[in-house]
Amino acid sequence: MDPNRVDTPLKNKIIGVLRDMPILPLLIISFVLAACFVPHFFTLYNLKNYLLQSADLLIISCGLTFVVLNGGIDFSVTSVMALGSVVGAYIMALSPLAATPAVSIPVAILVMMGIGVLVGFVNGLSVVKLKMPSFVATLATQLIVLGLAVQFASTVSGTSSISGLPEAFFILGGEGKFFLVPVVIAFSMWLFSHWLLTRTLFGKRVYAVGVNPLTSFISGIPVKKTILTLMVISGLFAGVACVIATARNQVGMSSLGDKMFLTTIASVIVGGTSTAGGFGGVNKTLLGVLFITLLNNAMNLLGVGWYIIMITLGGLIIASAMTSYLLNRQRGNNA
Amino acid sequence: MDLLKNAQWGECLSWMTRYGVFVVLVMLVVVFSLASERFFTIENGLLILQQASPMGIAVVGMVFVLLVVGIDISVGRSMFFIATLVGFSITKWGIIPEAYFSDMRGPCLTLGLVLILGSAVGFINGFLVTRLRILPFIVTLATGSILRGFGLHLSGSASINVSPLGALSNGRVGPIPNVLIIFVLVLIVFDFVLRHTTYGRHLMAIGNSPRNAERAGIRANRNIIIAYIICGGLGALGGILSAGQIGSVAASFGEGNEFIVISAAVLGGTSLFGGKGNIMPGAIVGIILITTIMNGLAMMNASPFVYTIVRGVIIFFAIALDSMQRRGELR
Amino acid sequence: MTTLSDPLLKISQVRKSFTGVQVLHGLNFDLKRGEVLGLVGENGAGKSTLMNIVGGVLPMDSGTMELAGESYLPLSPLCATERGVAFVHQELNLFTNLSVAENLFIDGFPKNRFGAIDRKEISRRTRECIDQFSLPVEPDTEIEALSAGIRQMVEIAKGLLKNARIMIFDEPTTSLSKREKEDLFKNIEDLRAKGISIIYISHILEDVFRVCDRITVLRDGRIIETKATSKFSEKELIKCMVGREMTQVFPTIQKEIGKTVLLEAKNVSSGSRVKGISLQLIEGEIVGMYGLMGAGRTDLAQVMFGVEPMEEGEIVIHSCPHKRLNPRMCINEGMAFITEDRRQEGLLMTKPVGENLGLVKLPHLLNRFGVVKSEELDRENRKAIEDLRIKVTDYQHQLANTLSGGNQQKIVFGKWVMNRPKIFILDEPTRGVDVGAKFEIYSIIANLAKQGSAVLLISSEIEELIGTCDRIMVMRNGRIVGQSLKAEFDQEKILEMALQGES
Repeated sequence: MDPNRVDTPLKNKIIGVLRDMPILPLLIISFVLAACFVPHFFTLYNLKNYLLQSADLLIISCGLTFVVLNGGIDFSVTSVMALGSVVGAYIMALSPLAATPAVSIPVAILVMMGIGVLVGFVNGLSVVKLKMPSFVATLATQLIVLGLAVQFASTVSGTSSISGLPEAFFILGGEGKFFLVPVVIAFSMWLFSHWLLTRTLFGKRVYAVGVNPLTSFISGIPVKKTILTLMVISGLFAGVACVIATARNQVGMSSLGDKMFLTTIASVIVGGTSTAGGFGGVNKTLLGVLFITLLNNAMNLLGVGWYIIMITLGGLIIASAMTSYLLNRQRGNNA
Repeated sequence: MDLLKNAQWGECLSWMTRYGVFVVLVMLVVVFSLASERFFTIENGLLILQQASPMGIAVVGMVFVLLVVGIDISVGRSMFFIATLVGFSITKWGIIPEAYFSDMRGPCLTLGLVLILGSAVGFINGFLVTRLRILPFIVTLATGSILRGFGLHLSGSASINVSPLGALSNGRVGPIPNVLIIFVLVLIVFDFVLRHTTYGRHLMAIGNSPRNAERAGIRANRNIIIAYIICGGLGALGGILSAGQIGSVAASFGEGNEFIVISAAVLGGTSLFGGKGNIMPGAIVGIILITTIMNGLAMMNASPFVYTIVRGVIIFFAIALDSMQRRGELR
Repeated sequence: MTTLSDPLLKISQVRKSFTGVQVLHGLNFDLKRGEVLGLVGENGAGKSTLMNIVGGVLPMDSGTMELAGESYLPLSPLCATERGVAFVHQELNLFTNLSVAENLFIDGFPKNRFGAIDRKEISRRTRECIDQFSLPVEPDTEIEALSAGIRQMVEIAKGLLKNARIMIFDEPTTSLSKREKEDLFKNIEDLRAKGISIIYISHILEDVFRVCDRITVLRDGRIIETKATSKFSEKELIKCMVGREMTQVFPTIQKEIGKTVLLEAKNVSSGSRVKGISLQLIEGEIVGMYGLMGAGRTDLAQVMFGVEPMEEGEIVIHSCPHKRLNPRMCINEGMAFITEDRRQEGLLMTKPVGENLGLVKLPHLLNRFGVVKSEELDRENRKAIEDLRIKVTDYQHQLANTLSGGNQQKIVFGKWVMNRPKIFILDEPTRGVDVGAKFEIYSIIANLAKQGSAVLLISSEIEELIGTCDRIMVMRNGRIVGQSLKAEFDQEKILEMALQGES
């Protein structure tokens, strides 16, 4: 902090925000460019789409942010969506409960979230008790859960999707005039994560453990419990995203979440949360989500294939990690 | 008193990792033989070896990267990209004319091209990991996506024909599959490199104690980059042979292969945490075990999803066994 | 022109400082050919630093070194080895996943004509080495399988293989069995017979007297005395090591020592480092814990705070016995632990001062919903900064790694004090702290005791302990070997207990 600075407090604040979240100007510029040059971008229809797409991604990325803040990763979030989707759809469409939507819908929602919690718990135990690195543990659970999803769908319906869901459920997906519902849900969950990370004891612990688990341990922070909890949170959020996505698609699909992992991790990293742990947050992830969804949306409108998007995302991840490294070096050198 | 129990548990775990794989392999062979009479035949045995060899080659490369606490999850997608490129080189762009496949020129040029491309990819990975200090799994996740993107862009999601390679990949010398011969050659050469060259020993040193290695004057960065180059090159080689066996490169080719490769390496005794690597017999046993499981499941007419689940369970146990033996940070 | 009687190694006016603290003050030192020179001194006297400079691990700030008459300025350990200086460190430079032979030749494998490692050759030469030093190993034995003692012997053999002219041993006998020790001494004899010079650092005076021709005493970064072993008596040696004029000023605070025993350790054991420790911490009392490196003090502290598991015995805190502890429990019982290494264990270096300060107290600053009451946190932070006089301009944004060592240590204090604990375990609290901040820290400690806390002060500086403590315990080899009361504090006696005390 330069004590000789004589600027106005507002200017200071803006500069501080810019330095802290360099993705923000990038987002704004991209939005403007898209609005100007991408056909059909700045239409009500497309903007609605954009919001809905962001909603899913935001929820799942918020959950993932917790794990990345600890220096780990969770590959299983997308397959949680797949499994939750088919199991939930089964409950609402094919199970004995299907006859009474008033019962089947809440049960299905609880089960979908419960699957997320369960998988998160297994991941957490693998990391904390079995001392497996999170990237392998979640890789393994991802495969297992995905296999279960496909197996389940195939067993109960012979195909990979289950349809016939009650219409009331579609409200959660933003059907028709309810299009704001998922957006509101996503925003609430974002708000909740932000509050959790910045205001509560748990949040402070997450950051401390992410920076230095040993110091945190000696200072009395229950490190293992904290890590376990954040893996569960990641799973839970994936479960919620599953509910909304399934509602929007109006079918249960074992292919739900396919291709989504890359966009999720890109949102978190490009948003600015450091993969080394301890720095970042869901406010950054929000920007990352908005930016990545914007890219996705614009590229789709331009007729660009998924492959180009993959390449772009991969490149962005590397660019962000590089930037993060360079910035960290600077910070570390202020000793 | 707890100390004694800890020591016994540690010994138990270490025994399990060393010999457990053999035991499991034998058990599996017994189970599958009982389940299907077609299993325990020489023909099936050779088939398993033929199926295992391409991935086995990639396993050998992965061992080098794992030795230095690295990882390469771009292997599968790299296989896809390079196989696509090669497919086009043969069938569309005429870089390697199909005529060349009537003799050895075709296969040789192909293999040469593949090794160069794979090594280049490996170099990029290694460079990003060592110079920019980005976590290996993030780097290789990103490069994998980029490569897959390029591959899909080139192929337009259509299957690429690589049938000219079929003679190489499916051919046999007498009863012995070509790919098995190549696999064995790779095994011998790279096991030698690991055990009997300065490079191999230096790599072990780096994985064991980077600090001591630096004190001894070993240049870690350079050696690590070479490890990634080896992994990339051998991975690509395994990939093209595998593609040749199928005859075409579908859009989903290679997806998930890296996990087979990593699991095989870990099951064979290589540790995710560096410093422990096993090519002979580790890589062989690891890949044969996994291939046997897949082969046996197919014999039992298991549904395809079971494959995915079983693959997940295999990785889980392989890594859990490896992880439980270490002390370190929880991430 | 150099003659045989000229010193092999000559060091002049070597100075070295770390982050503003002068560690070596212009040393002059020489080593003759074929002699065994003992280097003794307390912890922190500068022995390791000096040898690290000679061994090429650290650069010196100024001064000159001459080896066999030629200028000697090693830029790396490898350079030093090439010039014939081999340093056998305490933390061995071996690779546990490689064999003995491979370790010996790791920085230069002889090759056969295919470019591969010539296994026959290294096996042969390793065998020569093994026979020469009677090592109970084979060339193929993996280091992993060897005991610490044998590993060290391999390390020594490694140095000799490089045709070292000078070998530096840093506390070589700490992990050796009696027999292995004898073998080591025999080897040293053989080396000397070959004309190799040896610098032998150790705090086991008995060994130093046995093996060395001359002894050099280092104290506070200066050479106090160098003379032939025969001319030294043990008492004199100890006096040289420690006999400084006590020039440090310590705060004088009136306080009373209460009667309540706040913490009692009963026969606590853990691993091989802590053996049957029993002690009491009384309210208002500052208890010092002295010991040389490897005595087990930090290990004991870690067991007392639950960082390492306790295998036997129990710890009674406020009359509550415990057999299993973890830091959280200890904190809840009103304990605090300021560790030896603040960078790795005490602070979140890349986080702001404010975040560090609040780390321990946080669970007590919550409202009903689990939300941190930021106003109260701020207030506590400001109070801590004021009370401890921490020099920081913007505690909410300034990162911990931008502060000086002394201020960093104060942050650690601040973090713990905020929770108002009654039992403090301090491990080297003034390490790497400048003189001014040191005094402030002593005042903080004294005030804590005055307010009724019990303090265990682990330190390697006898002067510091004498100036601040009510009594001083001495540890050696994992046991408490003696205790000194305030009235009879004596530097020499304390060091003597640390060096030789019977348990």
